[in-house]
Amino acid sequence: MKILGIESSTQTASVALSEDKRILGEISLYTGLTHSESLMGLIDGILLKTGTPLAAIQGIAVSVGPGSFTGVRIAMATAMGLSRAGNIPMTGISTLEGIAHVSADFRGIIVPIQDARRDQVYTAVFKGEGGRLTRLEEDQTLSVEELKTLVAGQASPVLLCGPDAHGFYERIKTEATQLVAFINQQPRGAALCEISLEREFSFEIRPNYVRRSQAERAYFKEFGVHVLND
Amino acid sequence: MVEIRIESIAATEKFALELTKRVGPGSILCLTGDLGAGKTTLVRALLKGLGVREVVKSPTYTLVNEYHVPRLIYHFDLYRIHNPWEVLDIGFDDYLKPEAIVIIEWADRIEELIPKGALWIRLSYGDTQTSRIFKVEES
Amino acid sequence: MKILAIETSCDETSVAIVEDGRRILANVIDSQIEIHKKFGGVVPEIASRRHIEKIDEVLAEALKASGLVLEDMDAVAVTKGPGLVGALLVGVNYAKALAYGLGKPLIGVNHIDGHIAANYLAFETLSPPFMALIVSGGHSHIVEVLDYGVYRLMGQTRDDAIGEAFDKVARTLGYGYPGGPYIDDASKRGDPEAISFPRTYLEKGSYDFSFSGIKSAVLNYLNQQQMKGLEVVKEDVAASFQEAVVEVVVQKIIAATLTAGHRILAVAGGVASNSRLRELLTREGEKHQLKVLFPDPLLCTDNGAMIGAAAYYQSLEKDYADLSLNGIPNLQLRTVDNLR
Repeated sequence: MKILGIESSTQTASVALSEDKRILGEISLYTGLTHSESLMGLIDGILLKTGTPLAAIQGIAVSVGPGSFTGVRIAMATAMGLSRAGNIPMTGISTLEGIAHVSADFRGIIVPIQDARRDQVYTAVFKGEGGRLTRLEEDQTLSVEELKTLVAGQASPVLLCGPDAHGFYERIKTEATQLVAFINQQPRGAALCEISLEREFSFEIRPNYVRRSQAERAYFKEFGVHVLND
Repeated sequence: MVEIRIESIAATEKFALELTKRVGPGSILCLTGDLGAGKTTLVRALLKGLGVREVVKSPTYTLVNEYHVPRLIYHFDLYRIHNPWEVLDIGFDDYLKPEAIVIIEWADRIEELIPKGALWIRLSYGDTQTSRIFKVEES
Repeated sequence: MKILAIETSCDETSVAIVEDGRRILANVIDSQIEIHKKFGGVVPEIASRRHIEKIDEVLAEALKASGLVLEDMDAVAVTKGPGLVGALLVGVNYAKALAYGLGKPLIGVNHIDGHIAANYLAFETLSPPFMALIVSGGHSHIVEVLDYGVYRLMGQTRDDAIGEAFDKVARTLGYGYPGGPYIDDASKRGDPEAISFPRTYLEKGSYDFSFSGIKSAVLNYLNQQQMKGLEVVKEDVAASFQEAVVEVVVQKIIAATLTAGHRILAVAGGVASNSRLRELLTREGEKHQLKVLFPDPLLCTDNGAMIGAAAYYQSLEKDYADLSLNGIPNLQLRTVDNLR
């Protein structure tokens, strides 16, 4: 099964093509968020370089957040357009899971992390065992203090991974006992392709923003009702 | 901190021209002051001085306008913002690129998000209807 | 030639199918007005979230309504600006991928062009040259349409757009969002001569507009009444404000049309639905033997069909976009003076 992986939730834009368990190719750009201009070009590039016509793609694995709300939507809109045009089913994958997946060989607890600004992080908890990931905690927003507690409370050694892992490692290492290592890891299209082999594909994907917009949160605080239902 | 008395629109334009010598890629310019104090007039003159030929309007609705020719400039108007999260939601950080000149009207709404080294210009009314006072300082 | 057109520049998600720039085969609009009403204005992030949620569904509806399939389309068009950048990017990226996947040309359309082109859908026999008045929340332009997509800008706003002025005054008076329709409605019950607000004509011979003055005047009036402890009759304020604005707009567009030597004037944009503007402009038009055209209110709001119409004429010029097409929040109208 040929799968196209699309990632643009962070400063990194990455696309990949896989055939069953084999990654045929991957192109990543770390130049910051002009993904709207470059993403489709990267996709065209990977298809051309691997000699794959779009008609040969049987599934699209797309990173649906958390991360930049705009970046998430660029990837989703692109995936949805391709899906519509080529009748290709999609599967949405958490950006955090994609990051964790790359380190799945680590025998212990894997905590993927992204800067969510103003002393907050997007994070989740997985257990790694010989290349397989088991999710222990949902994607969530935590303060750096709460992150320390989360890591310190784990029963096994913890690996912190993500685009700014080093920075957060330094900030929490003293109190977050159990933390043994970090790896600066950008999200990768190839990770999405691999994860998707165990996922269901369909013609609808939903974003994984993990955080509501400020206006929604303020509204909810005042009226106790959500404005949008996602 | 430098205090400058501005007596006319011509003086604003002269000031703006001087300002263009101090801004370049990576510069962040923060403008504060009440409605009508002249923030947009200053921005308009500044953009003209930087070579922008397009019509410049305040991005009241769009929050940010962008210019690519002759240089990359982002012009924010945060009048409608009441919480810093609102600009973070639209990816504010991503606009603070080293290649870009960033100009922010009503920057005081998100003071805590503005990095050090930004240039702040606080506009206020002078003694007469047409005069203004510009207070310039680097954070 | 059938064009699939996508519009997501603000708070309406729309997909339309237009044939030969004139015939609407489908025009589906999902409006977010009810959502943004709660916030008194469009919240960019909420608008963008809603666009990504709805766009594919709206496209499916458009196909169903027309009885066509994607393979029947000859091109894919999308609004590239101006508008809210996050919202634009949903449509732009979806359209890009769609065009790529179908192997069809991609056309990036200027939303303002779209407003002008709405008239081609409303009036089948309309063709350039003619005069156009574009009045909406974000735009106020007096344009001479020399040919399809070829414009000479004769006047525009120097500060607020007309719709913006309506919204701001409406808000000050305590009316909801969007303010235009509320003011229009309230004005019917008010006295347009109750308060004499200033009419800003600017210098002689200028076809530009300036609405910040009238906005301040309304604010000052309300402040003064409050300070004096006097009553404010909202309907009178609304009517007097509307009269001041409409009077100036009508005077300028008629003068511009006569100077440019045209007999046909097409109006476009959301504010074109304003009843007083329609009334006064039609009357003045008749006086000067001008034919004044107002599209159907639905075509005055943001919609995909107008984008499809504009795109058709671009396709005749092979004005196509490539994979790097991006959304531009402050895209300007391309005129003969600034050919961009």
